[in-house]
Amino acid sequence: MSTASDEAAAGPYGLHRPTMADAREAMHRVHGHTGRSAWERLLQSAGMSGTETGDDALHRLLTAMAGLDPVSQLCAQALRIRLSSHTHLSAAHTITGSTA
Amino acid sequence: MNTMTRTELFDLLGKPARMQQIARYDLFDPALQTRLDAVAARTASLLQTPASMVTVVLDSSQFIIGQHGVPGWMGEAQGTPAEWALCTHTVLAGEPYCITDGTADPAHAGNPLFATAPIRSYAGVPLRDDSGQVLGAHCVLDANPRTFTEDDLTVLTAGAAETLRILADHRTATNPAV
Repeated sequence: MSTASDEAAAGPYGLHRPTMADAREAMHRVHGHTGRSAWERLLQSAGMSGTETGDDALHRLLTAMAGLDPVSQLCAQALRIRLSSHTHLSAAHTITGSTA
Repeated sequence: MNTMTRTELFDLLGKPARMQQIARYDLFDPALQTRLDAVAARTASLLQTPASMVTVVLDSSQFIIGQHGVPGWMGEAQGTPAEWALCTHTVLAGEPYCITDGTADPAHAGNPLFATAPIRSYAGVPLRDDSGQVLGAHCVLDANPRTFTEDDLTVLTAGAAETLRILADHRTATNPAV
């Protein structure tokens, strides 16, 4: 789930903010041999190409993912928890000025 | 778990068969959360701990589906990254898992949870449903070091059994794979 660029952009306590690439990897993981078709269905449902970047695109993708099927809904929830964890810890990190 | 890469951990937790089994439950039903909050509150009271949780460990995050007194950002985020979650250890072990003092335990001292939340000790028991899959854990958290006893684990095991009975009431009829 991590790449060299992710490590460079590591957030608080080494937790990086989820990206579209993480979402794609997660969909392939939880759907196994049907991962590719599940990802394509998701992109079609979201009206996206998969090359978009940024939080807005990820939120749009997660909304579509949550409505795709029950397994994808869990996948979306896991990514949302990581996003929220990153947001909360980044805020705390800024306030305390921690270097942890 | 400490020798596993993050990708290996997520692949292990996110196996399609396990995720499909978890998806057989309607974990987003507010009525389920209310019932599981009550289980957590009862366990926390019986074990005299400030916090208790019912969790499902998904592929990359721990999802809190019932809770009492969960501190700070963990409660607000409704979970934690899976690689930090103490319940991940319980799920992978498939048996009760205890931490007496996370800040002094070399296996856990580097876990950011202990630096970012008032947690020192943990005891959890697995939630294994009738498919044989371990879905998550029922646990307690304490702000002080604590050695958990067999009696404590008996209380947690009873709470886990009640949790599984409640989850069974919230099983969906549809095939989650589609």
